[in-house]
Amino acid sequence: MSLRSNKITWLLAALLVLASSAFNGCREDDEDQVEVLTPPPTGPGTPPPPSPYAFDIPKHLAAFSYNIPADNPTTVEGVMLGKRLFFERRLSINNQLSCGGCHRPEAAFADPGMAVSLGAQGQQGERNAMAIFNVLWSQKPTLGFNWNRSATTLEEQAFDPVTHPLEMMETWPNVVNKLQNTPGYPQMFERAFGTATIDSNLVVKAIAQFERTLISANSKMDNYMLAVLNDTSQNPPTLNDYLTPQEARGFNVYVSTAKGDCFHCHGNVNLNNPLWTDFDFRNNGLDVNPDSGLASTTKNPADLGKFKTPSLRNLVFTAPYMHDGRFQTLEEVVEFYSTGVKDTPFTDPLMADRGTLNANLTTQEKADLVAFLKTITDSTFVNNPAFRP
Amino acid sequence: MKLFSRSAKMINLLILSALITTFYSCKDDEDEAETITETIIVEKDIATFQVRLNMKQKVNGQDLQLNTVNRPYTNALGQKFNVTRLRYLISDLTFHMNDGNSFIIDDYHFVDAADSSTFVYQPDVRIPAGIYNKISFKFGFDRIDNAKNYPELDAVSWGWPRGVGMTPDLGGGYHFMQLEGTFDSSMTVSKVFLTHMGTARSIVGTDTTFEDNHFVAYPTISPLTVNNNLELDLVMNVEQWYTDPYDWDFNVYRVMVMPNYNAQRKLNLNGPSVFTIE
Repeated sequence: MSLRSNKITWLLAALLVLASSAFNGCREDDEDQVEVLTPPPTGPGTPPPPSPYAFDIPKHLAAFSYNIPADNPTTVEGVMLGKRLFFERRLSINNQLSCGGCHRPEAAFADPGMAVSLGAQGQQGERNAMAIFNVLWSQKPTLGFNWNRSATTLEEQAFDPVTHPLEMMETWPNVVNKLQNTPGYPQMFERAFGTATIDSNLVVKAIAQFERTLISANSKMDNYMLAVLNDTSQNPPTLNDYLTPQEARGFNVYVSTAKGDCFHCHGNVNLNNPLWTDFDFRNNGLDVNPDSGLASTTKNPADLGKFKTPSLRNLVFTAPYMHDGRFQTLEEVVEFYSTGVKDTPFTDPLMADRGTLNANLTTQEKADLVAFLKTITDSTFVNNPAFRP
Repeated sequence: MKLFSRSAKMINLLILSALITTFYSCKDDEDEAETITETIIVEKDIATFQVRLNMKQKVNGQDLQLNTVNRPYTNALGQKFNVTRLRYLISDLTFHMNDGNSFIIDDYHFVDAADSSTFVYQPDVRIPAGIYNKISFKFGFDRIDNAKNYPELDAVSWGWPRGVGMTPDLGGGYHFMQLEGTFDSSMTVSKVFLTHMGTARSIVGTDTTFEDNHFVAYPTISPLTVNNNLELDLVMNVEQWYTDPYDWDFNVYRVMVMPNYNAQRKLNLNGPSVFTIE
C-alpha cells in the first residue's frame, strides 16, 4: 500500500509537465491535431447513456478511500432503479416482502424491535437484520458483507435474500419474469444499463448502487470532527464545546484502555474515523457455545462466534442489538461488556486488554458511555426523503 | 524526516538541467531541438528500477498460521502460544550505498497477516541502479510521520490514543504493531496476550513524556547490485519479538502493554533482530 506521495515523484511529474508545455509551445499547429472525442451514436432507439451519480461526501469522510466495482459504476438512473427495487415486494414469493421490509429507512435500514426478521410467509429468520449505511466504505473483499461474511461484494450480498427459505423464498427466474412484465421496469433498466432485458445480475447491481448512496455523517460527533477540520484558529474546538459533560465522560470510557477500550474494534480513538468500525470480525464473548458465525463461511473452528463488528452510528434507531438481537437496549449492551463477557477459547484477545474480560464499569460510567453512544445519532439520515420509497 | 538522499537529488538535478535546455531551445531554431533529444538521453542513462518486497511472516522458520485451535509456537521461555492477529507497519525503506549515500523511499506500508492483498509492497518510487550494501526501514513511524493523519490507517482502527479531552494520553499517532494471541498459562484469567507497540509513555513522578519508539531495522543482505527490478522477501520472524536481548514473559507482559513503558522499550530493543531478508 503506497499511499503517501513521494516528493521525488511529484517533482518529476511537475517537471515533465513543464517540459511537455515547453514542447507544445514550440509547435503552433498543434490544435489541428487534437483528437476530438465524440459521444457514441444515438438515435431514436438508443437511450442516452446514464449520468454518473455525484456522491455527496462530507469533508471528514472525503479522505477515506472506497472502491466501486468497475463493472457497476454508480449512475443517477441506476440509483433510481435500485431504490425502486429495494422497496419492491415482487422480489418475494408472495409479493409481500421487499428488502425495505426488513431494512427500514426510519431505523437506519435495520428492523426495529425485531431480534430476527420475519420472512415473506412470517417465518423467523436466523440473524438480526443489519443496518445499512456507509457501505460505500466497506468494500474490502476480505471483510465482505453480512454477519458471517457470506458475501464478498455488495452486489453478491443482494442475491441470497431473494431465494433464502427464511426470507423472500422466491426464485430469480420468477423475479425477473415479474419485473419484466411490470410497466416501467424495462424502461428503467434500459436507462440504467442500456438494455430492457432484465436479469438478476442487473437487479443486484441496481440495488447495490442505491445502497452505496446511503451515507450517514451528520451527528453531534460529526459536527465536532468537521469543526476541528475546518478550524484555522489558534484555539481549535474541544469535545466539551460539542458534548455535554456526561457525554464527554462517556467518550473517556470509550477510549480508555483501562475502561471500555472500545476503540480497538470501533475505531476513532483520535477522532478521525467517522465510520465507527473497522468492519472486521470478532468473537466478543457472548456465548460459551456460540453461533458458528464466521466459521460457517471459513470452515475454520477458530472463527466460531466471530461476527462483523457493526458501526456504533445510529444505535438509537437500530435496536435490538448483536447478531441475534438479544439485547433490547443500549444499557443491556453496556452491561454485557461490563459484567457478562464469557471466557471461551475463541473470545477475541482484545476483549481482555484491560487485564480483565469484563470492563467492570461503575453505574456512572455505564450511564456516561450510553450517553456518549447516543451522540453518534444522525436524524437527518433516517428522515432523508431520498432514502424513502 | 529526510526526504531525499544525495542520490535522489542527483537524478533531479540532471532532469532539471535537461528542462532548462528545453525551455531555452524554444526561443531558437530547429537545430537546437536535436540538443533537447540528446539531453533527455542523459536522463535515460540513470537507470531506475522497481522494488518489490514480499512481506512474509514466519515463526521458527515456518509460515505463520493464524487462528490455530492449538498453540503451535514456543517462545524463548518455553511458553506455548498461537497468533490470532498480526498487523504491522514499516516506513522509509532505505537503500544504502558503499560510499555512504542512501536512497530513502518516503512512504509506508501496512501489513495485515490476514489479508494477502497487503503482502506485496511495491513503492511507486524506483531506485537508481547501483551497488547497495545495506537495506533499512523504520518499524512504525518516526515522530514526524507519526504526527500526520493517514485515513487508510484510521479506517482500520490503527490509532494510538493521544488523549482527547479527559482521555488517557499515550502520545497519539498510530500503532506500529498489533500481535495478538493466546498462550498456555497457569493463570485462571483469560490466557490472551496483546503485544501492541507504539509511542512509549514514561511517567516519572509528575512528569509524563512520550518517547519516539520506532526503530530502524537493518536486515542483513549481501551487497546488492541493482541493475534490474529488485524483488526481495522481507520476513518477520515472530518469535524474535520475544527474545534477544529480553526474554518476554507472557505472564508479565500479557495485556495493558500499550501504556507499559518497560514493555514498549523491550519491544523496541528486541525488534531489530526480528526481520530478515531472503
